[in-house]
Amino acid sequence: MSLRRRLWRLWFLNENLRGYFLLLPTLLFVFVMLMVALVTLVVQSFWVNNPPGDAIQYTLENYSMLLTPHGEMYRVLLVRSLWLSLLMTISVILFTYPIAYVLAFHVHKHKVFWLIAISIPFWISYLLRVFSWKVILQHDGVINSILLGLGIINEPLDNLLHNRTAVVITLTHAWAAFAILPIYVSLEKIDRTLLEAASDLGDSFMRRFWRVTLPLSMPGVLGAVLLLFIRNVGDYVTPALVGGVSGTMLGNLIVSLFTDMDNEPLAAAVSIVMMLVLTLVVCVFVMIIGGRKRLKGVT
Amino acid sequence: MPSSEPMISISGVSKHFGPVKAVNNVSLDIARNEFFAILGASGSGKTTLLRMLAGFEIPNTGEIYIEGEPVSEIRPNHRPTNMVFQSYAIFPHLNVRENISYGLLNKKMTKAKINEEVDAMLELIRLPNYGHRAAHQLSGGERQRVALARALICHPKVLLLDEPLGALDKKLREEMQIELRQLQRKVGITFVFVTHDQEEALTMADRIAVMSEGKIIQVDTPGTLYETPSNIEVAEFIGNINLLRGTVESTSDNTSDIVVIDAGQVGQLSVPKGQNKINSGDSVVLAVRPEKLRITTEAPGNGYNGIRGKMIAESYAGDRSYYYLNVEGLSRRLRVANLNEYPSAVRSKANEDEEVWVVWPIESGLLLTA
Amino acid sequence: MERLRRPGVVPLIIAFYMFILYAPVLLLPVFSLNDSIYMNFPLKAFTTKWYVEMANDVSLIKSLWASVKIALIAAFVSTVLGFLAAKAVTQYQMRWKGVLIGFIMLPLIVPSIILGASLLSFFRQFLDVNLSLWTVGLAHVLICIPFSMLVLVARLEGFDRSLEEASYDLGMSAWQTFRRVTLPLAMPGVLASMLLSFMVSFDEFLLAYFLSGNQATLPVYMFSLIRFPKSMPAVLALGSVILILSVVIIVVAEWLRRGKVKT
Repeated sequence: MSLRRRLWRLWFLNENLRGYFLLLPTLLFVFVMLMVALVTLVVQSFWVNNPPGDAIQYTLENYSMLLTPHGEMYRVLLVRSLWLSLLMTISVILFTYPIAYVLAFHVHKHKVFWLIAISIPFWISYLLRVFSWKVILQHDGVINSILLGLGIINEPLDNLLHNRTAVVITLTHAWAAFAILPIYVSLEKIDRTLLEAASDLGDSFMRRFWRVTLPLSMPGVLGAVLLLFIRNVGDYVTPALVGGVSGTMLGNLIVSLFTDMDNEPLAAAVSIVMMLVLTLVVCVFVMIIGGRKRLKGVT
Repeated sequence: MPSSEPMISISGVSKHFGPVKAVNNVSLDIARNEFFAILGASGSGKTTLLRMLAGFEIPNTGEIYIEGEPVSEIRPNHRPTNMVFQSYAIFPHLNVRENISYGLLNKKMTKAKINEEVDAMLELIRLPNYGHRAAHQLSGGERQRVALARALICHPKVLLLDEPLGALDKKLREEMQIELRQLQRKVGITFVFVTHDQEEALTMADRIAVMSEGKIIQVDTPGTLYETPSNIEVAEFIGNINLLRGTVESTSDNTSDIVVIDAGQVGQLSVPKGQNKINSGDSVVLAVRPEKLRITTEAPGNGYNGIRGKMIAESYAGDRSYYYLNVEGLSRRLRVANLNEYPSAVRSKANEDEEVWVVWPIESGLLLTA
Repeated sequence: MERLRRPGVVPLIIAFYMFILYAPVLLLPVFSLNDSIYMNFPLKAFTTKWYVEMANDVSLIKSLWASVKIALIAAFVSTVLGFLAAKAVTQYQMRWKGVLIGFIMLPLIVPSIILGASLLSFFRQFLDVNLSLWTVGLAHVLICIPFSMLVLVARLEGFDRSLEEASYDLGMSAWQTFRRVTLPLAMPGVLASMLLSFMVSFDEFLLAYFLSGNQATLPVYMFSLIRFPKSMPAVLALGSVILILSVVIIVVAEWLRRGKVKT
């Protein structure tokens, strides 16, 4: 058989092959832009910060510096970013779980409509939403002007903006509309007869919620938690606009290293460290969850 | 025109998906203008075989010839075949006219000519005013007819049908069985259809190929398949049949072709030898169809076999009744089917638990060796 | 289904959440029509001068145009790539399907700053190209592909393959089958994917900030304006326009995505 015929037969006889072929362009694109780019970043993180045009020299200093007293600022910001992201994740879940619950169990008509209506804010420009919180919280902003106007306070509150609380509030609000969806979906999927069985066996509402509803909704909640936490550790816009000095996060430092501090290799190193620590935290988290599940005998 | 040359010739074709051999070394000839059925249970490989005829699968080994030309490596859009899919595959975004004329879009025909052909097709399928109906407005039977028209308008040499009547309700199915046969006669081309419903195959086909686990186990006309299945598998697959196992007592001498077998507790039974080559002591099976049996109170006379049994149940099906009996020495219940020629009040029924004779003419039995 | 003992609580709860989620954003249109450079209460006079100022800002118009160009291209390319991937995934059995899909979804999870830093490094150091709208466009395609895939997989999931087979059987080539059968039936999903990708790209800030060269995109320009209080109201006007457009596009995209499934 000629080569051409052989190839033709291979193509038509092999379904798997055709599937991979269709997938290839997209896969390749994502691979290059994600993986190859990441490798480039890693390589760059080992460079000495020489002016462009000079020879490339390699060093471990970018990383080792972070462990010295000189790198304290970086460590502080890393911990702060992790902490703020955690706070924000928890408050998003606490804030959105009730509404997701209400939508799943107590709304019977036009569920889809309400779902869309509630998630629309998420799709509106993130930048604008952070900006609107700046407008609300600032010294001569909405909250102060209302409180002053109503006579509740005599002087504008100064501590609403440019701190960590502002960052957490803004981030919570920005992501709330998003988190509703996965939590809603996993609540919606719960077999109602399970809940009826629990009631039938004597559970009050609270007990049933704690023992049946909540655990069964966990997949959606955990998915949302992971996504929120991972994405927000490196946030830039919110701390930049409403964080001030005390609310600065690691993302701001990285951008600053790339721009006015002009130390790209260090910026690369800090980014890599952030990613590694984040991966570590997530892995530990997943293992804990997995471990607890096995302990309880639940798969 | 050499009418002796088969329209389709399948030669040593096998197809496997991974470790599973769906079609295992199948060879088959289908004549011109034949209404041919491929009958098998799900998983027998019949659909895969049909898809290979259509071009959607390529055989791993062997070759398929249509009118003498090898077609295995010709893609479906270039083959002289057209297919009616099990789900009918009516394009939901096109109306009836657009669906039917779809296959003509590539052929350089004027709009007027296309319209003419579509009108002719609409007449043929007896839906003359349906041209502008939307796809979702069609009932199951109407979809099938549109699918037929869409395929036939391309003037294929062979029309392939995948479980054509499966999605229709019983009454419609019976109607369509006749309609399809008439259509085939009218259009005058080879039809090959695949089905798991043996009644459908028996009613519509000129010849049937019975498939099981990728192999063809018998190809014959409906009558031959039913009356003289070549082995137990085919016998059980087509219709219902009673199987009585035993050993050969005496082979026939030259004067008669009746064989006597010893069926253990059931007794000694006579059966025509048929085409079988057997020797004394061989293990054989006597097969007899339920409708050939009669329930009587008297022992059988000459020319009849008879066995004793106890009635355990009767099943009434309107035009016929089924009777089930326990027979000493038979592992499965004996099944008898008789037409209800007389109304229930008049029909004499054996009482349950009564011992009766079940008799049948010797020549109604069938000897099977495998 | 539970029966709440106090009827009327549900609408209240929903109203409360809607208020909290929408109010901050709705302030923008309110203040954009307010005759004051301070965004607080009480409101002064009604005015449209901020919109006029916005329309006269040449840099703004240029950055708007840049964003539109990038978003259009990103929407198109990511929809094409997303479509190919969605077709591959819904139509064929592949051994590593789950892993591959997960991989393509990664850009959704990876923090933007990591993406921005890696791509900056990739383009400048590795490929040695200048930053420009193209670099931004490529980055946007990367983050739009997961959205595109999600929408299109949902749309193609129940697709009746026998429709495509019927088309082949009736004489059409692969391309003709795509054009006459697959695409028309997948069109609502394709449009939804394009709209969604357009929006994601249009609003995206961080990657554009990292990767744009001399010409800023609209969010990047807006960010620079936010730093200057005097130009805030014009930003508000801009923001309000974007807000309304976004809502319209989302609603249309969602309507298309859930659209009447014909089969």
